[in-house]
Amino acid sequence: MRNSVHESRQRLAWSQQRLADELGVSRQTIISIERGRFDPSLPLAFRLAAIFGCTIEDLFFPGDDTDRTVGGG
Amino acid sequence: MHDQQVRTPWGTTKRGGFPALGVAIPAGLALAAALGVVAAAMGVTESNPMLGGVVFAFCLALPLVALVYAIVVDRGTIKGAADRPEESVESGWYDRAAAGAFTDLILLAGAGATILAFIPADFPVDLKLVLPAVVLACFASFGIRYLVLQRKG
Repeated sequence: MRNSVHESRQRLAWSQQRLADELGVSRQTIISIERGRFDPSLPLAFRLAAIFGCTIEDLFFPGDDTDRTVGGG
Repeated sequence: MHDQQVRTPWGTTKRGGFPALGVAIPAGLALAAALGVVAAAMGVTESNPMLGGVVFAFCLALPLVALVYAIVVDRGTIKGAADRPEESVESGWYDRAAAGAFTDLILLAGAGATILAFIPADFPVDLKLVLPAVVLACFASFGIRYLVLQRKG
């Protein structure tokens, strides 16, 4: 999946570490999501959407799905 | 998040809140010493039981300290630890690396069994060497796979 997490985080002027701390995940997780290398679990996607005040569909949209890690949890 | 908890580089124990390393080091060393005594008493190293016991204890000390630490530490008290590790990308890397290592283990065991079938019955195959080799191969497979996934990001 592609996503607009990077742009949404920039709008809030948050660092990757701050977003990671708010979500309770590692900073590497934010880096991987923003690079499109990691598809977060549904609960994590919901928390991301809640933080950015939007829906999951606003954050994530279909894209290239080759060789990526999928979140559990 | 564990905002109320004091986080330290090595964390504290789940029960009692003692420094985890302060518990793990003496407990791990005591376990290693005990196993060293067992090795000496059982005469694992026939020529010099005392030396064998010391070597056993020395080799087991670090793994046992690490094992005790992993058992007793409350990971929520470790500085920098994520509150939801199961949702972090590292968890996904771990799962993929472990699945790959398991596949490698099956392939390795299958290939090994095939090769052993062609080896004459009187050819000595020491399980004390084979099993650690299998474990090391699993470690190597997992480690390399994890590092590759980590590098890809």
